[in-house]
Parts: sequence; structure tokens; C-alpha cells
Amino acid sequence: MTTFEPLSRRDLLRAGAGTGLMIGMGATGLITLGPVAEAVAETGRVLKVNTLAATAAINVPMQAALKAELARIAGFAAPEVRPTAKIPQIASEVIAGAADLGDADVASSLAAAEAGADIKIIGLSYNNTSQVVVVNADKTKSLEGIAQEGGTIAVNSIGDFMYVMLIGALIKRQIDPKKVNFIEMGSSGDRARALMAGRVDAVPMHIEQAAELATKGNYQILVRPWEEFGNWLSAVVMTTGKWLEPDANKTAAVAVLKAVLTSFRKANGDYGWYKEQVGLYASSKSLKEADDAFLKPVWQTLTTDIKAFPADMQTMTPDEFAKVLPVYKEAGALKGTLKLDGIIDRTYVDQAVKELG
Amino acid sequence: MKLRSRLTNLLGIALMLLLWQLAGQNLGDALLATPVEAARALVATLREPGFWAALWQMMWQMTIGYLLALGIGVPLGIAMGRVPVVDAIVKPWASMFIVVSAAAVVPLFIILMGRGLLFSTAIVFVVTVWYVVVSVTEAARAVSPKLIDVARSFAASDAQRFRHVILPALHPYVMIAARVGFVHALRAMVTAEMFISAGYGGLLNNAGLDLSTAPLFALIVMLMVISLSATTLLRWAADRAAPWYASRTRDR
Amino acid sequence: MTHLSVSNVCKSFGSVPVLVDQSLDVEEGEFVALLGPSGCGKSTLLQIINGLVPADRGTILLDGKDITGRTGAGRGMVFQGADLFPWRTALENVAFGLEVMGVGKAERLEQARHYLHLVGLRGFEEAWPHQLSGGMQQRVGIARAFCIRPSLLLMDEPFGALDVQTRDILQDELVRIWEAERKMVLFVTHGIEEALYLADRILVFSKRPAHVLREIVVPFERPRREEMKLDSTFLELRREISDLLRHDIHA
Repeated sequence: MTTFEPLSRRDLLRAGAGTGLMIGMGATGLITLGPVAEAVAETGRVLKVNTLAATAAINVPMQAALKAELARIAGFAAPEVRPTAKIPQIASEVIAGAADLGDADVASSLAAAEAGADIKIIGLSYNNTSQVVVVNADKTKSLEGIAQEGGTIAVNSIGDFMYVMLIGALIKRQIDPKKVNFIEMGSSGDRARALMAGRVDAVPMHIEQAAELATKGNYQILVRPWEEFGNWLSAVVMTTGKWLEPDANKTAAVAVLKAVLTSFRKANGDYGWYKEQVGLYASSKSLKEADDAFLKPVWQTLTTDIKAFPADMQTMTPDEFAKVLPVYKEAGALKGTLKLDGIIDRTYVDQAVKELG
Repeated sequence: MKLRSRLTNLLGIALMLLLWQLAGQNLGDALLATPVEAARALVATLREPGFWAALWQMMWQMTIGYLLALGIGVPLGIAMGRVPVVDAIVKPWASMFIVVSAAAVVPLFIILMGRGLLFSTAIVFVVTVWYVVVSVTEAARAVSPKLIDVARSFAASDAQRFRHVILPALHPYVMIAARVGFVHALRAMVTAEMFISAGYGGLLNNAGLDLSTAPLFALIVMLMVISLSATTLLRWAADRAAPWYASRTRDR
Repeated sequence: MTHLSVSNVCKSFGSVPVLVDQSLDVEEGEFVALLGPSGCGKSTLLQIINGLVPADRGTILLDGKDITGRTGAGRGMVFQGADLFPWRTALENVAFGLEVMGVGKAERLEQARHYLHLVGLRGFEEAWPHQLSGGMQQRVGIARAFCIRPSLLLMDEPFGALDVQTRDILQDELVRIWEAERKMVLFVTHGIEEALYLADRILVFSKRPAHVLREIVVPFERPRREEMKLDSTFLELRREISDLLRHDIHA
């Protein structure tokens, strides 16, 4: 531009000459306004922990451990809890070194280990599972029925622990799994709606969702994993062997497990505490606001039938995992070549139990 | 005339709401909440402090990525439209990245950048910038050569031709790119947030867990309101800045 | 003493020769029409003189200065479709040339207002081009060219896109303005009547590659009047030129 005579505001806008300047100023302003440096004031190590995006009733103690209990342990601040919508992404970020620990599912962790990743399972996010397979009892009476009709079952993702459980349950009944169509449907809310709309014949969902759905019609639980396979391990605390090498990280692993165990013990013994935590951390609004008539039976099922919060994580052993491994193998989710002793590492849980007393 | 078209609009909306209400009453709120239920859920949602925090978090993070996309996309687009060398270098990348959806790059970006400001800004930026670049390139290429000749015949220098012909000719298209770019940016931001279950995307995830669809619809309606108000605001700003264009499109 | 001298201009587009060794001279205050069939190359010659299109060979001297291949410098161009800037008001369009030359805002708007009034558009200063009719747009185009006070006015079929009535009115307007502010004019047209009515001298061009078939000095007095189009000499000349062009095309 050769002439710098007085430019009117309109000229400036029209010419777009001010655009760059305005953008620069706007962006800077927004950065300084935004909550950029949230955690600066806290002291102690901030761990990065990937967890599931949705917090169901069974996930609540783990969330309470991360968001409240861990910061009570000397040397640790509240971790950066990173909800993740896609389950396999949880483990893959830990393997990539983008996160310290993962609250991941057994299927993707073991599959990654089998593929050669340096996975260590050091604890349980909860024991067993709270997911059950629900059907519209007016239409569907059994898994055999679904297979005969060439019916459809919606799962979160093909290959996840509920998919494997279902394949196992089918094989156990001598039904050819190929006769059932499996489709992926990410959100358990969507799965429940698909079932109500009659688009699918059976869906896995958490027991509290099954209880809520039962109020809408003749929806009944068809399969309970723990009745099929005893203890259906599904979610674990995992990391990599490399991450566990430094002493600082070993201490961190123990601290996290101490926090989780503390939560487990409170959840088992104190319904009041558990209810309060549900109000704080559950994802679903209806679960958050649930009354005792609804929540107490859920808590009872979790603590007694499912035994979701074992006080010492005593079920976290290679032997327990070995029990579920054949099902994974049959379902084609794993080849079955894993040496579980090298993957399931109780060192840190045992240390945590010892320190807690 | 204007009043009549407004009335027709309103009638259309009323009819749609009525159909929605009837369908919702038939299917039940778990499958299709009625507009009345959605409105009630909207009021409840607006009362939650968590909602405003999530909305604010989404908007300011998105705005940074969006402004960066405009700040870089517009000059780059002009350069590509007017300078063949720049076009030759950037075009292959532009046509490659423009088809990439937010959902496809989010997992990779999470691993590369974590989940903070950098991540959401980057997602919004990469999804929006190529759209801006491509549309501004097209517009810059299409600047009337006749008008450039007019300026040349009056002995306008390169800089004067840029300032007096190319920039004003591009103005309406830049404003359109800004408007459509905003919608792209918002959509990318929501997708990114749903992956990491943060901010508004987190609210959408959580609402999806409820059996009733009313809270989910309330959140979606709010997104529509935001998108609509922002594009209206941008249109208003464009009309203020380019009265000639506003007058021409109004007269049509 | 102003003078335009074009000598030995050659131009080919690819291997197609458009102009071969064209020369012409325009004296001070002279209105010269370049008449010929569409696409013969007369517009190209005008654009070469304007500097928008480079010549392969030849020189253009304006008032003794070599202006070959340069735009601006004493020439004002009126384009066929007016080609106004849609983002400028009528007044700002007229002021464009002065703005490019670096004339201050108050001064150039003052000048522009004068010429806008001169072409009969008082009251339309703030109108956007799209709000003006085709004829009004071309008035603005003429005012825009006049506003830089060129010594040579170049007009490229300026009324070609207008309806007959508007064209007649604008021809009269052009003559009126030009008589008030006499300058050299090169007026490209394919209208025989238009050329006869407006010009002092007509160069009749052949089909491509263009060369001058005949030079006609128009014998009518100024100021010109509409009745003149019924004059027997006028009709005779019109027929002659028409035959000349038709013969050339079929040759």
C-alpha cells in the first residue's frame, strides 16, 4: 500500500487489513482468560490416568479413588483423569507413553500384550463385571431363540469383554456364534433405545440400567456373566513394564492402588459413602439422582453377588485370569499364547495392602 | 410480502413441532422425547452451573482454533488463488486434508498432544483451515480479470490492485467462509470433546446414557441455537462491513 | 500541442497474426473512430495503446513521450461493459483514478462529483453500481475516464451492450461532454452510423489481420444534430462503408 491517508473504520474492515491484528489480539485474550493453568497451585505429582468416559455404578469407587483418595496420599496431587470414549484407545495411549496408567478392559490389554506390547496388569478397576445381557422377554426367551431367528445383539465394540463373554455363553450352549449378528453401538443408552425400538434382540448393559429399563416394559436379564463363568474379570489397572522401571513410578503405582483399595473398602462397608460418591461421579443424571429404593439393591448386587470391590483385590491372580483365557481363545479374541505370570503383577497390590494394613 | 414469508416460516415450524410432538407421544421419551419434554429438559439444563462451565470451555477453546484457521487460511487461500507456485505446493495437501473428518484424526491427535488446549485447538484448526483455504482459493482465482484490467489501465500498482480490487472482491467470500467455517469448527470441537468426554461433548455423552432422550435433545437444541446465533452475528457483521454486497443480495 | 503517434505495431496471438504493421496518428482534439467487423483486432490495437496488452513490435508516442507497454500516463479508458467496481459507490468509482494517483480524499471526491454531475448523475453519488441501469453505469464509466483529465480518451465499444434508445442518448451526451472538454478520442465500434455521427475521421478496418481499408474524413459540421442522420451525404457514406465491409468479408 502506497498511500497511508486516514483510513475509515469501514475501509479497514473492507480491506481486511485489520483482520490479522484482530485475530491475534482475540486469540491472546482468550488464552489468558481461559483456565489454562488450573492445577498450578496443587503440590505433588500429577499422574495421567486414562479411564472410561462413562462412569456406571460399578466404576464409581475407582473414580472416587482417583479424584479424591489419591490426593490424600503424601506426594500426590489429584491426577489428570482422562475420560476416553473408545475403550481400546485407553490402552493404546498408555502403550504410546501418552498416559501413565490406564483403567482399561481385559480384552484390549491382553490383546495388546499378545501383539507384543510390554503390558503389565497391576490391579483391578473393579472385580467381575456389572454388565448383563437384557432382552425384551415378550419377544425373546433365550440365546437359542436369538440364534434360531438369526437375531442381532448390539455390543460396545466387537472384541470387547462383553462380546467375548457372549460368544463364550453361546458356545457353552452349543450354539454356533455365526448364527447371531453382532453390531457395534457405543453408548449403553443407545443400546437400550435400540432394544426398546425392537431393532436388536439383546444388549449388554449395567445392572442399574437394566433395573431402570425394567420399569419401561417386560425387559429381563437373560445372561449374568458371573453365573456363566464365575468371576468375569473385565477392567484392570494397567501400564507398561518400562514405565514401572523408575522407583518413583513404582511408588506411584502403589499409591494409586492404595487409593483404589481404600475406595473399595469404603464402598463395601458403607452404603452412605457409596451413595454420596455416586452423586458426585456417576455420569448418568438418573443414576446420580437415584433414591435408596433404586440404589440400595444395586449396591447390594455389586457388593455381594458380583463382589465388585474385593478388599485386597484377592482375585487379581494369574490363575483367575487363566480361567477366562479359554473363552477369549474360543471367541478368537486371543491366540492363547500369553504367559500370564509375566503380565499379571501383584507386587504393587501386595505392597499397597501391606501399607494399608 | 416479508410478513407473509415470515408467517409461512412460523407455520412450517409449528407444523414440524406438532408432528414431532405426536411422534414423540407415540414412541415414548426413551426413543423420541416430545418438544414439550425437550423444552422442560432445556430449562433444567440451563439451570445447571456445570452446563455453563462446559459451554464456556467449549466456546473459548473452539474460538482459538477457529480464529487461527481464519488467520492462516484466508491469507493462504488468497496466495494460492493468485500465485501459481503457492498453489502448486499447497494444493495437494489441501485436497488431501479437506476430506479428513475430525473423528478420523482425534485418536492420533490425543496420543500426540494429550487432551488439553493444544489438542482441541489443533483439531478445530485442521478441520476448519482447509475448508477456509479451499473456498478462499476458489474466490481469489475467480476475481474478475476485467476489474483488474480496469485498475491496471488506471496505472494501479500491484499493491494498489491487491488493496482496491482483490481484497474487496474477496470480502463476501471470506465472510461466507467464516460463516461455514464456524459450523465446521463447532462440529469438530464437539466431536473432539465427545472422544475425551470433556466439556460440552462430555455432557452429550452423559445425556446419551439416560433412558430419556429429552436431556440429549435439549443439548442438541442448544448447539443449534449457538450455531444459528453465531452465523447470524457473522452475517450481520459482514453486512455492516460490506454494505454494497448486503444491498445487492437484499435487492435480489 | 498534444498528439498520438502509433507506428508499426505488430501483434500475434500464438501463430495467428492480429495486427501487422499498424500505424496511425491522432491530432489534438480529434475524434477518431476505429470501425470494423467484430474480432478484427481493432480492440487489441486499443488495448495496446492503453498498455494493457504488450505489442510484439512497434512504438506508441503520446505527446512525444514513449508510452509503449505502460498504462496510465494521460490515457483514460472506457470499457465495454462499464466494468465498475461493485464495492464502490458511483462517486468512489469516478474518483478511483485519482485515488490511485495519490490525490487526497477531499480533492478527489470534489473532482469526481464534478464529473458525475457532468454526465447527468447528480443525486446518484452514493448509489451502488448494481442499483444503476446499464446506461447510468456507462455514464459513471465515462466520468471515471474523464476524471483523471487524460489527453487521450480510449473507448472500447462503450455503447455496444446498450439498447438503441439509451445508446442514442449517450452518444449525444458524449458529444456534449467532449465538446466542452476537447481531447483526443479513439473510439472502437462496429456501428457505421455511430462512427459517422461521432467521429471527425473514421478508419475502416478489414477482417483479421486488421489493416485500414479506407480512411474517411467525416464532412459534417459540429455541433452535430440528430437530423444529420437523414442527410443524403450521411446515407451515401453509410452505404459506401457498408459495401466496403461486406465486400471485404466475402473477399
